[in-house]
Amino acid sequence: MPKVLIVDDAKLMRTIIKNSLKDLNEFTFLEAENGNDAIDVYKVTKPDLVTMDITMDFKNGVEAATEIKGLDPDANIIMVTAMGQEKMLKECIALGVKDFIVKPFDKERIVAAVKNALNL
Amino acid sequence: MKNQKINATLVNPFIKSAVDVFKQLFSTELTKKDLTLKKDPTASYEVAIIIGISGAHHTGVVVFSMKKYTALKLVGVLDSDITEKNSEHFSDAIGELGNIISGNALSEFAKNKIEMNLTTPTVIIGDAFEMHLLEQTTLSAMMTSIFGDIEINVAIKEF
Repeated sequence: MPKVLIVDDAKLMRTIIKNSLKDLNEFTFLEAENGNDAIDVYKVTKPDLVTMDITMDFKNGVEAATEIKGLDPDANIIMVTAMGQEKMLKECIALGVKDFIVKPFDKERIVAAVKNALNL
Repeated sequence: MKNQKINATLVNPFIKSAVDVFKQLFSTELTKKDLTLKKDPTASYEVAIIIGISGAHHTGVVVFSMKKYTALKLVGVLDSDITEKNSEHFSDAIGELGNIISGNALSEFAKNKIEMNLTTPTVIIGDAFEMHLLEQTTLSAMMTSIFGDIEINVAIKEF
């Protein structure tokens, strides 16, 4: 069963992402509220996929994704953020993230991104 | 009024973003009732979402406010498990709505080569709170929807 780590400071968004994916496959969902926690959970659980918010306290999503990619260059990361600026998008593409989803998103958008990232 | 300088175009991306987000998340129209100038961005209603804005040439704050009834209706559409009783989830959810609207507004600014960043939202709920924000000329857009009115106070200074 693929493990998906959902990183977002808003419980609402973590719930929406989980609910969007529940019909796609059986997943083990892991959660983190900020970039620091995401790195800690990643080290311990090595999830198959990470969905990463950007604007978070303590450590933002771009910093956390950079550190996770440093630990594991093959890490599968999808950015899910309200901040859709081109500059940020380019930064994340350079980092090697699999997709960049701008909130609010349709269920179909995140399902397609996860299917693609996990080859489902 | 101190700090009189404000660029009227700074409010438009927030209005456009709020209208777009309401259409997408709530399948409803959000329309502008009024646009006024205020001496500071203090909220008019009992639920306030405060988000800091910073950039190379901009600094300020955006304050969204609405009645508690409106906020509960909105977050109830997004997650029916959220009620006033689980107040932490309620404030978290309404803060995320402010974050989404502001994030999309910043994407609009970026199309005009204006790069800015957001702080995470601070949410204040209660009918007895007194808010004191720094005096900064504010453009206040009063928006209306089937859920009730939403006030968007934009106090961004260019330097």
